[in-house]
Amino acid sequence: MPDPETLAGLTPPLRSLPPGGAGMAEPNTMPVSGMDPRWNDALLAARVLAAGVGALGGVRLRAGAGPVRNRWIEMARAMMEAAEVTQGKGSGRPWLRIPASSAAGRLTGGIDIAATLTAGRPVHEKGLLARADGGIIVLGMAERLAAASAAIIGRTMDDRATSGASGRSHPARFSVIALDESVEEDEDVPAALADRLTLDVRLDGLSIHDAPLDLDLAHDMGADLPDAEACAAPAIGDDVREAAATISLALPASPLRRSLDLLRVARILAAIERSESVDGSHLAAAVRLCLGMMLNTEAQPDEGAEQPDPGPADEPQQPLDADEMPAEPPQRDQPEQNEAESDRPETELTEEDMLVAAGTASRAVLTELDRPDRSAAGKSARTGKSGGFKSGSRRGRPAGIVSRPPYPEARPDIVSTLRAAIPWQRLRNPEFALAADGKAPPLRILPSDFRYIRFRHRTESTAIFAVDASGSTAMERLAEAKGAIELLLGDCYVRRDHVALITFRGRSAETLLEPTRSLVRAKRSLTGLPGGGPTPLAGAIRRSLEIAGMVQRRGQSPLIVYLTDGSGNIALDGQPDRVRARDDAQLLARQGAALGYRSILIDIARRPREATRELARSMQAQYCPLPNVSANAVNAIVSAELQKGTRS
Amino acid sequence: MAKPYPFSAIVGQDDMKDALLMAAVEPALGGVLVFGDRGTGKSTAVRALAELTPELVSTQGCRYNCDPASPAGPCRVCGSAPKSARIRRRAPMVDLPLGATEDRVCGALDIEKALVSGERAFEPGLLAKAHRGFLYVDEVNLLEDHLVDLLLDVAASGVNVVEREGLSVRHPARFVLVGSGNPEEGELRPQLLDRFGLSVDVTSPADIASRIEVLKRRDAYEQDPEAFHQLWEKEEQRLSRRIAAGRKGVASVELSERLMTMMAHLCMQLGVDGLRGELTLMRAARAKAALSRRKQATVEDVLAVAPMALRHRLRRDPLDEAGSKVRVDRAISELAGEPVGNA
Repeated sequence: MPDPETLAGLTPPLRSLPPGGAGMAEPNTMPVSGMDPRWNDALLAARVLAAGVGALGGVRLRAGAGPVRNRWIEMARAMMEAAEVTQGKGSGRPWLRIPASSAAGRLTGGIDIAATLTAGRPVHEKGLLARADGGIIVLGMAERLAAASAAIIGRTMDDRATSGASGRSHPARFSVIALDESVEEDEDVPAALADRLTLDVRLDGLSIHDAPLDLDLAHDMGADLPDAEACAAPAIGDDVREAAATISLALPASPLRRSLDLLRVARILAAIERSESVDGSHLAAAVRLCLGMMLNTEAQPDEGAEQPDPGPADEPQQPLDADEMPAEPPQRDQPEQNEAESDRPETELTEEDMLVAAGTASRAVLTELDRPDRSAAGKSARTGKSGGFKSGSRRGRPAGIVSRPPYPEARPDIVSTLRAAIPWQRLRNPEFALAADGKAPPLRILPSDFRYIRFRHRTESTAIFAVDASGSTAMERLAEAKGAIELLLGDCYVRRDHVALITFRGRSAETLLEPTRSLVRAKRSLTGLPGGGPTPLAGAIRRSLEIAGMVQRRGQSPLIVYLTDGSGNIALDGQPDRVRARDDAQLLARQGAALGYRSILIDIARRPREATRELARSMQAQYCPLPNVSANAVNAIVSAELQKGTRS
Repeated sequence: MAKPYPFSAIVGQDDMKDALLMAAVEPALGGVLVFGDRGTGKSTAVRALAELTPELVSTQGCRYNCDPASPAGPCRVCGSAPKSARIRRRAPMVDLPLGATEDRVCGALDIEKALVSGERAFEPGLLAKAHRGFLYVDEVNLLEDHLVDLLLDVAASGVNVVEREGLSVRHPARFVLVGSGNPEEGELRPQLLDRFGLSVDVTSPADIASRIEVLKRRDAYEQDPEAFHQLWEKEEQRLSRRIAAGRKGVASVELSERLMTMMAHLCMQLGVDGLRGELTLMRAARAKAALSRRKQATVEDVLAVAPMALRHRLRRDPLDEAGSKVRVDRAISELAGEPVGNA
């Protein structure tokens, strides 16, 4: 079994712990030998979840849709049911599946308008979260969950209660199984939820053969689970606590919740083993289950290739990080770590110290988990600021009346609802007639009369061109850039896109063209485009970010297009200093990425250089080397990107 | 719902705790903005704070949470039967969920009533519910801009005015606005930043000892909330008394001419636009002094509150990554270095 070994490689001091330190392979936590260790761990995670329903936040199940994922869910459910039966609670635990698109109102509940009207008295509807009390919520496509819904779910998990629009509070203790199918870098489970998911199960790369469905096994695994009281019983020593704190400190952004999670899981693991206290092995297993670190140790690149993919999910990203993260660091970083450790004065090497050392040792591994590229740009693109991307807009111009709510919380429009209801009054109430004194019997309005206003919010994009007009880019390229802008504006007029133009040469960048849709105006300001001089690239980036911010505040989505050869030589303060110029440019590029602006870097150098590519990476830009600039090529690239933006 | 985690048991995060206490003492401060990483106890602190504030008296069945002495105009319960039963209750602590609509926040036509019985009634929203208490907006930086505008407007004026769907309602809504968020996920517009009174940054503790302490306390709380509360009962009561005393004393705290001059200098030196900086500084210094049961604000009070009152009002420099706190601190040390008053 490679698992205990690699883990021990990561944390050598753990081995020297007397109680069960080396023996990670207790019969209890290692159900079947010869099984794929990843599947084994996945089942162990399911077991922990089954033991800690309601007390644990839940599981982030990273896998494409497919039989492996279904098997895991099925077995987890079987374990839970078996546990209920043995604990004599009957099988009453709710198991709800909620789509990611659930409206906030449905989650928290409130007055059911349709039922209220039919019944003639207020009918309160329990929200989905309250209905899941004591059980499990399976959240499909969690990476598509709206930030607002994630915040509601996260808060309910904190409060263990939910209160709907009616202000009534219902208990809601549940655990979430978030099905995470993210493929793209910019897809991620919203942080408000991801932060509260305790366990991390990765099934990507597991084939059907590695993951046998064995309901009997699941039943056995679930049947002897300790109940909630027993799960809370094992004592946690200060050394274990210290190790957990150290590990979480080493994680990116050092989240405190992680260390709490580790302890909770370690405690449940100890309870499963009927151990009275939590020791190092439990914590080590908890690290494995919560941080998803050691799960893919066996995934050789070729093995991954020969397996039929359970879903399309794991093509580019997942195996990559699976390989580079867990497989390498333990062996590679260990020697360095030892060196680092030996620098310390060896005064008191007790077991507690070793545990702490174990924690620090994993720092190298954990930094691998830190993937800053994943991705501020993507995340903030979904924070709701980019109203242009939303369907079923809540603002904008009214664009007609519809009988279905255009967005989940839409409120009926009174006037059009009445207008829709009036023709039916005679039918619904034969006595209906307007009396002479203007008094009429009350209107009878049915749910089918409800009418809603639909809003249309224009999605507009603004392409901000930052064109290098310095001597290092030849004049004819400048001409092609101008041509591209004019071409684009020609198209843009149809698509209602705006264009802005910044040129940079000499000491600073200047805005030649404020965001505009006017082709005429653009042409006029483009005619006098001067060229020559040094390259203040950093200044140009700053100027484009400013304009992008302005554009975004107007509710449009900016797209920054840099046409440059990337060899900036003027620092931000206008001084010629190549090194500082590069640093400034990098800094601003990262800032742009953090702000979430989409950008394209078109490299117009005759020989594209690595530094330029690096810059593009920093700003998370699409990088297009285009040594022979032509207006048409530039236009094609930008148009494609603009259309992608409006579609998504 | 179980009792929230006690305020005094929160490890570290003194800036945040101070700011919240000051806001509880002096509602006119204009709210607190807490920015920082996830899981640093932002929500925990805010929720715990509501437990510490003095109890309110309100009328049974009142949906506007009126002060019986001055009932809100549209409130039928308090208006029609002014002698109905009084109840004592905790100051409300209202969570504004991220997905809340404008209707939900400021109140709207009660559609159920309108359609079922044809009655045109106003259904008060979250702002009415938060009257005389706290309104907590988690992830305020992700909230739709028009909602943030509305919140800040109401928080500043203390009155919620609804003019829509044929309704014309105004009711008092005085609350302490507390916003929190993670700046990496989105920024607030500078205009909005400026309208929060205090702003603090929180980070997760970087030393092992306090992290372990957090784990210990949290664990103890989860294992037995009741026992944990009893353990902290004394601390909590002490803090509660401090807030009550602070509320009484805050109006009568004196600020010397010298201190005023110093504040003005500080703001000028930092290039803070507008006068809101000085005003907040003044109120915060008063609240700080009142919390320590002093009748007179001191230089230390001003210096202690200056970073949180001013840091978010500085002009932003995209390249200055050190952050505005450093700049405020620098200005303070310059000021403090020379004899205060004749600077």
